[in-house]
Amino acid sequence: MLEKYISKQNLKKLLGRVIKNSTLVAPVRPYGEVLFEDVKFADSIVFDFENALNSPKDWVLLNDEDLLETASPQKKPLVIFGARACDTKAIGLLDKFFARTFKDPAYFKKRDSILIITLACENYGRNCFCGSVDGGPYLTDGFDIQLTDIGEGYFLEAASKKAEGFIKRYSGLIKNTGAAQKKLKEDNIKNIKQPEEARFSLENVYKNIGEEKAPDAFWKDLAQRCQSCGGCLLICPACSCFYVTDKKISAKKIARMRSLDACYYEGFSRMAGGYNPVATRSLMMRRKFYHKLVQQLDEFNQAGCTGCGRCNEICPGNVNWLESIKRIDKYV
Amino acid sequence: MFNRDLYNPKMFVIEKVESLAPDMKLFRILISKSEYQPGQFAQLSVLGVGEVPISIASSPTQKGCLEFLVRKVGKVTSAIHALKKGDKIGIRGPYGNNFPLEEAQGKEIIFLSGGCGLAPLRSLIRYCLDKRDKYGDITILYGARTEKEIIFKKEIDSWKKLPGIKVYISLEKGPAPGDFTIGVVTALFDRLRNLENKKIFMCGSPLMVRFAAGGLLKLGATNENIFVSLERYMKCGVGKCGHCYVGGKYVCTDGPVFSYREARRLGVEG
Amino acid sequence: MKLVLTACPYCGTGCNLYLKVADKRVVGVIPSVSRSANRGHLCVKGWNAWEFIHHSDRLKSPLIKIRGKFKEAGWDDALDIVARNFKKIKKKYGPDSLGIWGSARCTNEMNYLAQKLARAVFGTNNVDHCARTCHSPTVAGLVRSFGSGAMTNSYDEIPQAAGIFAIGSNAPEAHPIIWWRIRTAKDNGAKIIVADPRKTKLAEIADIHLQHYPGTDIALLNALMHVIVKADLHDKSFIARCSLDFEKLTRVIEKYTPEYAESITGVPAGLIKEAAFLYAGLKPLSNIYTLGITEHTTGTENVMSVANLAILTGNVGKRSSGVNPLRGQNNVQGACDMAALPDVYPGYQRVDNDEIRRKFEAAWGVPLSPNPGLTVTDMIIQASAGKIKALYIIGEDPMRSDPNINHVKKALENLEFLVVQEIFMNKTAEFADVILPGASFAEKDGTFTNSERRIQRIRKAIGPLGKARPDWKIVCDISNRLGYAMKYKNISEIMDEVASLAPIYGGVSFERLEEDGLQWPCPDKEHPGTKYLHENGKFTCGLAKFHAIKHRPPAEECDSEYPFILTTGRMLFHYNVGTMTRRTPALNREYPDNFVQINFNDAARLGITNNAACRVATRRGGLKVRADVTDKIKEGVIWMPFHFTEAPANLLTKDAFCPIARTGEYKACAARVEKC
Repeated sequence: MLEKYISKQNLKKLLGRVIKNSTLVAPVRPYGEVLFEDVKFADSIVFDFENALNSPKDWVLLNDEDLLETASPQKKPLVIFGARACDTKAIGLLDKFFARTFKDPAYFKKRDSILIITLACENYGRNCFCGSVDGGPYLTDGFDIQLTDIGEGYFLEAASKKAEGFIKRYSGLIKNTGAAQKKLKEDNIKNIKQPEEARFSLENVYKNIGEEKAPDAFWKDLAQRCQSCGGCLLICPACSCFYVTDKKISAKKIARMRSLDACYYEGFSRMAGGYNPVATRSLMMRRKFYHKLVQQLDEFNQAGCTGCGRCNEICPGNVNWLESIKRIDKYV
Repeated sequence: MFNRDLYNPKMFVIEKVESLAPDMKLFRILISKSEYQPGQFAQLSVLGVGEVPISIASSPTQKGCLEFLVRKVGKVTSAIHALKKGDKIGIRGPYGNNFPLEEAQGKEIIFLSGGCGLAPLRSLIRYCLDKRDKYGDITILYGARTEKEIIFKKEIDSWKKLPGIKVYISLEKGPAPGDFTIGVVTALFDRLRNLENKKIFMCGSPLMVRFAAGGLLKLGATNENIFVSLERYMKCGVGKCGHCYVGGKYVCTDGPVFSYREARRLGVEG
Repeated sequence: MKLVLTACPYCGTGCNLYLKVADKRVVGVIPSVSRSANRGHLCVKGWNAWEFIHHSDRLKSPLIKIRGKFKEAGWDDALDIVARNFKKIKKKYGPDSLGIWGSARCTNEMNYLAQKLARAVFGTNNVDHCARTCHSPTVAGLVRSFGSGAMTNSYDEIPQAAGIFAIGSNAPEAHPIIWWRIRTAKDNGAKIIVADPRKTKLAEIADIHLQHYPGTDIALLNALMHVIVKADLHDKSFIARCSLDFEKLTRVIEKYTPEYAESITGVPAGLIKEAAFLYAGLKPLSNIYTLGITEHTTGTENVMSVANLAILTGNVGKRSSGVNPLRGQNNVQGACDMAALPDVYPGYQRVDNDEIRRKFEAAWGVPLSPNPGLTVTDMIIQASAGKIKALYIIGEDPMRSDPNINHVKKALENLEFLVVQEIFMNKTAEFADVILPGASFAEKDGTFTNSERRIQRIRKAIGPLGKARPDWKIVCDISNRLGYAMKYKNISEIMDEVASLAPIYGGVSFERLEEDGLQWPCPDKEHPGTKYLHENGKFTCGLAKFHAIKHRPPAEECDSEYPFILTTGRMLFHYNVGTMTRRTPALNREYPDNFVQINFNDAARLGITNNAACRVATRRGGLKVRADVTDKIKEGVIWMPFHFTEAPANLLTKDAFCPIARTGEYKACAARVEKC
């Protein structure tokens, strides 16, 4: 682990230089809301925000991507700045998943050229619950570069070879650090208090879901509310299920496009001939809870949810993922 | 591997197309090395239309060829049915696990299937017949809807003639000349004896598997010696797209062959 | 990748969403959280609204029909043919032989120019659009009852209602993000009364579900009013202060006892009484309705009945209290506001009002016809009769969306000239002489107005595909070729012109729409927009009017040969005739083919099992579809969606129309079912 310091002024300069030789993805506020976008001017980057509406997963797992295309799409390296701990941790989960059993060539052909600069959070956002799923607000590993705000500048940590190379490149703007700054960082982290509403025991939830403690009535209520919009899955930074469609994208070219799918669509597991082993909404919801809070913990030692809270914001049935998990936590 | 890369199929020329029943055609492709195991499947591609997972119906002991039984049910299978000898088809695979052949060595085996479920079992049956001395007596139970819909008729007739092989066929609807039983495949169970030490390999519709397994367990079979090849909606075949995910397992990489005990734990009865 | 904020192209809720754009392709969607139309929510169609845009079926070049086949052509050639033919036909048969169909899918700016083209250039008021097929009874009915024909409240007032009365509305499938508000109201303790022949998801959470036969809404509403008046629960002071003709109402509802209504509607009298008492006690109460009541030969009267009930109980003109028709299309409200309608100028100002007409003649520099024109319904009828000779149809597919499509086919075949402007080839376009490729919602700037009267920006995310052009420019090109100059430097100038002529849009400009749109009436630049209408009982027409309305059965009633009532409608996963949703894999995968919903007992009697093929026939035609056997529909009633072009439900529906609003009776005709 490399530890350094960068002043806020120098960070802006650094980002300005990154734009010249890489594609920079950073949080901006073009219509009054914070979004991740490709950025052309460092001045438009925002540093003071909870989290963006979209997650940086959009640049790592592309939607509408041609699986038959073997050439790497990026000529310039990609730098993602401003990812929160939850989003970075989710991308880490995708890295593990897409390497499982078979290494996914479409995912990895560009992954090596992507560097992520994580911006640790200073407090909990409205919908956040990362602390309960070990998704943040600060990462101890699994990142390229992590910046923690300590006043005039950021305490900078680099935890990968890619990151060390990056730091060498901009060494003019990055300074060495010492014990005093490190303590400031540690104090700031300690001061982030998780609100009571965001608290639950993942261990309990893991056990209760595995042992099917939640009664049928619980699932029925959620099932009645769910509108099958798929939004919670399409916006989740940790979700990766996809469907594949052959499309004619130009007069001469046929592509096999993958796009993100949602397991709350009935057609997700329906077989030709009509039989569907997961036909009811209750079964679909059980499948999602099990996959994210049991199976992925078993396999990757990491929950399939990093507590970003986006799914709570967008659910038109008021299902509320966090509240549902808390209810499962309480079943004995 | 038959692929160019994980998602890029390799194009192969179709050597033969044979119509085995209404809506069911057998496609044969010539290959140089038979690098697959009985029970595996491959993804067949018609570029511009789509891809479907189809069990490999040939045995690796049939040197140099790959056979697939395709049933016409949807858009992609209709496009495959329109292909003729000499046309090209894309293949990715082989994927999935295989039937546990080592476990079955020296044992008596029962093959139980319905409809086009006979296709993946045929791979295993032919393998066992080609390595006959490794396996004990073989019983084949097969259920079809009508006489016209029996697939691999000629081969079944040849199997009947071999020593140590018994073949019983049930038809849901007559006419049933000769030795067919009218009913579903479970109607043949009265011919079965001493199931505790036999290996049972099953493949068929979810409903058939459920009732058959129930019947077999009552006759003394155990959850560990019944093996079923599960069918699921699949898109990638390599454990990434999530469509075949059930009970914590991906049917395309952890299966499609599971012991009945595992299949039940996955919350799946068929 | 960049994100562009725009509005959803599907229903009238008007959710704001971002289109993700990478390498000149639209590759995804996320909702906007801060905009009040949807506050971060989208339905399944909205989340998948990106995928049809680049479909290979998109029309990318003008097409001209030569000897029965379509050939690609350049814009100049195509537009020259269009202009030449309209000129020729106008000269030969007069201006009223021409007609323009505006589009509820296209921008306000385009619709304004389309009706200007018809009025100022063609010289006719024959301009209309697909609101005719759904909510024109709303416009006609509420204008008569309140003076203004739009949703009286805003979406965000629904969660605070103490009661919601939903009649003929399947919000969970047709307006999911408004259903979110109803769901929230229920979570907040509101009581819900639902009147619907089917047990929809909305009916599942209702406190009372009145499951009446299609076409019996008047009887039901009159009975509710009867009970309320007899129990002295009506809002006497409101009625006295704010309404007219109460005695007319009391006289007509006298005979609609719950028992009498039961004999017509099939709803038990006791339940009607219970519903009436519950309704009367809930304040504030939001009345919500959609096409279940408008798509009838009594559509306008059904709407006025709902208005009657609202005035009777003082449930209008207050926060969370009012009459709320949920508009169907992304810009049907706007297309009506912009007057793609035969009897009004932009802002609902009547064409036969001399003073108003003089204002528009001055603004547009030409004399204008004082005679109200034909509706789309009547343009089809008159095309068959040979009176309408040429049509310019923009973004509509009457060969799939009008009732009794055989009658539409005859009409289109009889035209001398047909121009269709579309993004995909469809059944109507097959009859065209010239097809002009338009731009999808992602390829143009402009504004849409949603159901809560909110005018919102749409923004261009990618360039038009191939040779397609933004629709407003195409209209200008045609106008310029016909000698009437339409020269706008940019699209915002068009809205400025609208603001100068339509008082309800008076304060609207693109700048003012940036943050969260504006709700009309917005009469001037300082006005912040209007959340709810008719505040304090001051109706747009002064006093609200009661109307005496009697029950009339649907035009085609059941008999022994055709014993079922066939009613048609919409599903969550598809949209209207399926032009866009059938080309979206995730949506089409959910429901890839047509089906008919039939009650368990009826199916058992006919020997039809679930998913079996069956034949549904009416006097107009027959279709072979699979059966969805369920308990969610009443015995004697069957339901079919109209989303599947290869098995079009409108082959079966009857071309019977509401005499006032000219809307078709999609919701009731006689059918028979047999197993295949």
